[in-house]
Amino acid sequence: MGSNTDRIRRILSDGAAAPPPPAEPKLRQVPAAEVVPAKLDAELRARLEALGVTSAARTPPPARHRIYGGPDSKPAPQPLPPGLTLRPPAEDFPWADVSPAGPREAPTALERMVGAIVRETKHGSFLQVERRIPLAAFHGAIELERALDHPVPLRPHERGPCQRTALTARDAVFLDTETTGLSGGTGTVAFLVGAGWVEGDAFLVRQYFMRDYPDEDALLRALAEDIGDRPLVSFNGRSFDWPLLRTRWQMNRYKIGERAHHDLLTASRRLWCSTLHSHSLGVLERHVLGLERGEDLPGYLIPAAWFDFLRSAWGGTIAQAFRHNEIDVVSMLALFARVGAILDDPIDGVDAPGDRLGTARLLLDLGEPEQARRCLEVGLGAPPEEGTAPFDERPLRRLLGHLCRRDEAFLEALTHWRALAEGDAFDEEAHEQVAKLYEHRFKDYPAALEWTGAALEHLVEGTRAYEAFAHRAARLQRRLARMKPGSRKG
Amino acid sequence: MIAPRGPEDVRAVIDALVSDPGYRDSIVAHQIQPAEEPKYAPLPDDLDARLVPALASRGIQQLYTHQRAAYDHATAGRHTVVVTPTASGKTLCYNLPVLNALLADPGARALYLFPTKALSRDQSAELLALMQAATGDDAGDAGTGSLLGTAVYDGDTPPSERRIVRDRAHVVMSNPDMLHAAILPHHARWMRLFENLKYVVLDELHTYRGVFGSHLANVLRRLRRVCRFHGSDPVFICSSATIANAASFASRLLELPVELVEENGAPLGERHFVMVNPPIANPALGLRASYLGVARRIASRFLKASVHTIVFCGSRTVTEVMTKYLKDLFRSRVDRAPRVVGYRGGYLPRERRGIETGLRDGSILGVVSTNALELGIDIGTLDACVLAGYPGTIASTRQQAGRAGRRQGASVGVLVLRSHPLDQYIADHPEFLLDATPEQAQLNADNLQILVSHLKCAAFELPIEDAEAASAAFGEAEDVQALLGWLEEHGVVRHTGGRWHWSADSYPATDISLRSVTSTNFVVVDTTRNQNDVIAEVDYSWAFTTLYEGAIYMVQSEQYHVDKLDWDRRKAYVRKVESEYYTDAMSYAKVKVLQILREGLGRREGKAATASRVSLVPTPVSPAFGEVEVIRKAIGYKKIKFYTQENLGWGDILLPEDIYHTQAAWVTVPPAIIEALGVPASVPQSDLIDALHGVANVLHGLAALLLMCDGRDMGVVIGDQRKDYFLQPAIPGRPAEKPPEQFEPTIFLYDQYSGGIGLAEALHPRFGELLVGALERLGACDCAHGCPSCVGPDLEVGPRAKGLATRLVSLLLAGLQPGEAAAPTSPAEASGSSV
Repeated sequence: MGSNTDRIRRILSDGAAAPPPPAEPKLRQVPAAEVVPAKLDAELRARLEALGVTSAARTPPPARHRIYGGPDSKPAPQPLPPGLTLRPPAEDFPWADVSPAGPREAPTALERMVGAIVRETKHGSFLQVERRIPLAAFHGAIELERALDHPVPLRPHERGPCQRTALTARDAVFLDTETTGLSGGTGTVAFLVGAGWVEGDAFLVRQYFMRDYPDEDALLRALAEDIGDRPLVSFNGRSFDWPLLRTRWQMNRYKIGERAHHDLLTASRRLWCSTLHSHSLGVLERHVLGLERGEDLPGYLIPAAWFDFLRSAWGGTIAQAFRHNEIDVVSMLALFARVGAILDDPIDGVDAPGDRLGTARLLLDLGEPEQARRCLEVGLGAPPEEGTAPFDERPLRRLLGHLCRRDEAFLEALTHWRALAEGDAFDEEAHEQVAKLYEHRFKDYPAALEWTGAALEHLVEGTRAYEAFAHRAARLQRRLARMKPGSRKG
Repeated sequence: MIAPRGPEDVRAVIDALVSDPGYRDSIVAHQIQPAEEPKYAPLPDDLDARLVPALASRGIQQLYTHQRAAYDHATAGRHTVVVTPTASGKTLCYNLPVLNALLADPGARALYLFPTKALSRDQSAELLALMQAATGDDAGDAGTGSLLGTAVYDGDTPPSERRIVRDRAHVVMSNPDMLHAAILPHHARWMRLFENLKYVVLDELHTYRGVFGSHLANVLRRLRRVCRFHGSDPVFICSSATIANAASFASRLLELPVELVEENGAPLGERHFVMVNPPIANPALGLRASYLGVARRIASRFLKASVHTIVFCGSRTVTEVMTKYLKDLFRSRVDRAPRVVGYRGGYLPRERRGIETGLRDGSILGVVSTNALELGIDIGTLDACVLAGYPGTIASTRQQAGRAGRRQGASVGVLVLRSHPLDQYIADHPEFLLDATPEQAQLNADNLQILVSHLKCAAFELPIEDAEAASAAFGEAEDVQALLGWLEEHGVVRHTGGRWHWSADSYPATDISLRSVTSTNFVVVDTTRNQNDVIAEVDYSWAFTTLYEGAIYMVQSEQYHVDKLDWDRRKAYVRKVESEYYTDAMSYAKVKVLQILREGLGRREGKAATASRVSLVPTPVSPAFGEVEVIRKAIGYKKIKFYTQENLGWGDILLPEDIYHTQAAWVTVPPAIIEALGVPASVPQSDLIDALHGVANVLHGLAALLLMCDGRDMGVVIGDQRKDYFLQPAIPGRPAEKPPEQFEPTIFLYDQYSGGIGLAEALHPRFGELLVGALERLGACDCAHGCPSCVGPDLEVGPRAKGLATRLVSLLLAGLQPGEAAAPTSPAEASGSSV
């Protein structure tokens, strides 16, 4: 036994908030990888080798799936928002420094490394790890307790069969999976599922782990029992984790009910659309939660870590996936706190004006157009904060212009669209909107014609946009011509 | 709209053609099949009552006998294959049992598979109309929650609609590729379909020959295990064009016993089939009149007589050129000019739909098409069909000719033969086409490479139980347990708890293509008047030879100049021009042998080889087969004047190389044979090269005949790969590279598809037959010094080529193992014996 295990033992024995020490009698040696006798005769082997097929070519995941950190989250080192300093996870996994460089000579029981128990069920057994994190703890800059302050409103498609309109942290199960791949389909399994829920004054994170494929049935049934019919909070889970788990349940002939499900990724994409270039959980942790993960097993290496564990039964690398998964789950709770706070008070609750645009968009999704308008107006009116870079106010104006027009506040709409049209760069949409407002709402044909003419100067003849403006100009000229005798009469 | 022609009008046009002194001598065969009366059967008693008025509203009071037979088999749960000609009401054979089942149980589901996307759209509309008539429901879209609905699920189905298709469509119309890559690997999402799957319809079964069929057989193995998992056991209904072995082919594809329905009950008018061999225009050079010219004149005759005509051409460029010629025919007519259109892959879907409608309602008089219209896309029936060149197989010829053939009245198919060895072989032996049964469709579901690929997909879809691996679920030819063990060694599956689990971070179906389709298409953007409209799409592999800068790209015979090709963004920017020429790309290929899989023909050493035909001690010749890398590069293009085919100039093509791995069969000419030819290395080697070109030309043509494939499925290249020297097409102003010292030329015949499709593999053991056929073809040709029908035109290959090529073939033949050469079989006999 190497020093790592000793260290883990030591940590486990004195941490008050640490999970109960693993009950020794329950420990079971992970079965060594089954050895299949090579039944391949030499001739067949030669034929197969001649084909040169079957390199297990690992196809790189499509870029749009890479949201869990991974190699592509590196090249966007954005400066942190002012006033935010990074902190490591306060309640880190006690075995955080289990190093892949540990001894490999003997299979090291994963149970001991991660403090797991073997959970026996009617349908088999699997490994389970459980940790209670006090709600008073900080995750980065966020006190976890804050997640209880505000419910998060649900967008219509998130509401589930019960049409639940909002979700509190106490109702929800926070769910994240580690899978054998990102491609989905029936051949991808979730070998590690982390589920977190609030229990008393702690956030309980329970992790379900398959030691090998035959554990899956027991794992899935226990998971289904534990989460019952509670609503879900996830990060990208609406399109990835939940459909994948549902497929796994179906493959194991088990039916699971639909429920309300809030996806923090979609909300985050809206809320920080203009201030963050990437919305991977890693980036949100740094920039929104102020969390420094420290040394972490990147998501894209996790499938390989499990396959490696299956073959070698050595737990050193896969133990890192437990930590990765737990931080993911706890980060969701912290992010939930942040999203709830912003949506509770969208006007005063947001710090950087750039976020106003995203907040307004999310409010529109939630069916709150008045709030969205106010949010944008405040954003435009706010003086630039000291020390922050000047922000591009045009997207705010553009959205506000559309909203005012929709609310028939034509004068305000005109103000915003004119401000955009008078900008340095030619703005085709703004010219069109100004011309439309003058023509149809204010019946000011000369002004409409003037703005149409200004647009035509910027456009290339023969393009569709040009034709549209030319058509408008011609119509305006006809109208003006018709009006002349009338005006004489008047 | 053109007034439909009466039967006697079409007959008169045919009579005029065959009695025209200008053609009389060129007609090598004229076959007349008499009209056939319809054979009816009553509607089945157990037919859902709602279907009777629905059928009546479409003019159907009773069924043709084959429709009734198919219905009876299918409803009794027997797998069925229906083999009847074009336009015999084939679709009702499967639509009727399927609809009947759906009306009885709206929870039931059916899956239709078509080889192409266009076919599924067509058939979906037709079935939907019948459904609506039966349910009295006018919104049968799958999305609207109506009584019954069909939906197409293919690459064009928007993601937002996919879920609706999965959950609601009663009949899902798709293709084998989608089933393989998108449906089966996600079968849990398709639970509704797989739990309730009652019928699987496979249309155009004959298209699933060769590698495509071998893949499909494995996809169907996977489909059946997924159905078993979800508790369904569907009945398969297949339809096929006439092939020699439809029943056994279907049962090998499905690995199920099938009932054959082949007696056609639909009426047929009198059908004429005429084979025309263009006359020799220049006896000295052995040049025949252009087959395109002859085809054009015959098609013009038909069109001028207002006979609805389809012209099939062998390539996209020829299709466009022919379209232009036939459009020009009516250019002088200002008003009400009859419509002549082109049709080929690459046209945008809406344009193709428009043409199909125009053909059905008769508003289009003539259409020029590639084999894209050979399949059952509904274009109604036409009066006349002109085949510009032998399409490559008997089955294709019948399918194409079958596009002309109404239920009443006469129709005609005219095959105009090219001066290509293959076509000329048919001119010599017209009975080959007229009497022989069409090809047998072949497939080999147990091809090791294909089987292993699909085992991976199967393990991904559902863990493979030990008992299943030991069963015949994946055929009986290979030890599936052993193969899975091998996959486990490579870390993609894991054996545990008596099951083989997929155990890799990848999605195996994406790495396995059922046919050689390359990924990204090019779009052609028309920049005329800054419109930037997309006017066409071009497959990746076609872009090299059609979208180079300077090319004239034709759509509907309109000419567009390619101004700019943005290779990385896969866009070609074109501008409309009035050009007097079209362009033809020249490319060359190099072949690098990666691995020799087989060498020789199983020669028994020690036996003295003797050959009667040549009086030389034979030098051993050893044909080989293996994996190769083909590097294809387009190097330049010719500008060819319309009508006169004059060469107006040349241009360079600067495009990257197209590199792919495939399989090849090849034979190296040993130095002793070159010496024996009497053209030693010191002598100007053009004679040797001419002879090699000549032999390659004959072998290439005959290989297609021997293998029943399209000539374009195989490429041919001559070179010495150890010295990296390959013969290239000559370009003026660019001196041809001299062959190296001690040139050891090899003739490579390779599959022109990435991965190979099994042609070279099939060719390799038949090299002897191939050489015998070549010798016969060279001997039978009347020309003096070589013509396009044998070694290639005299002007291109030089005067000595024919003699040298004949000697070279004899020497190669003598060098083969005597047992192979001593049983000379002509290609006709060879193919006849396999029928």
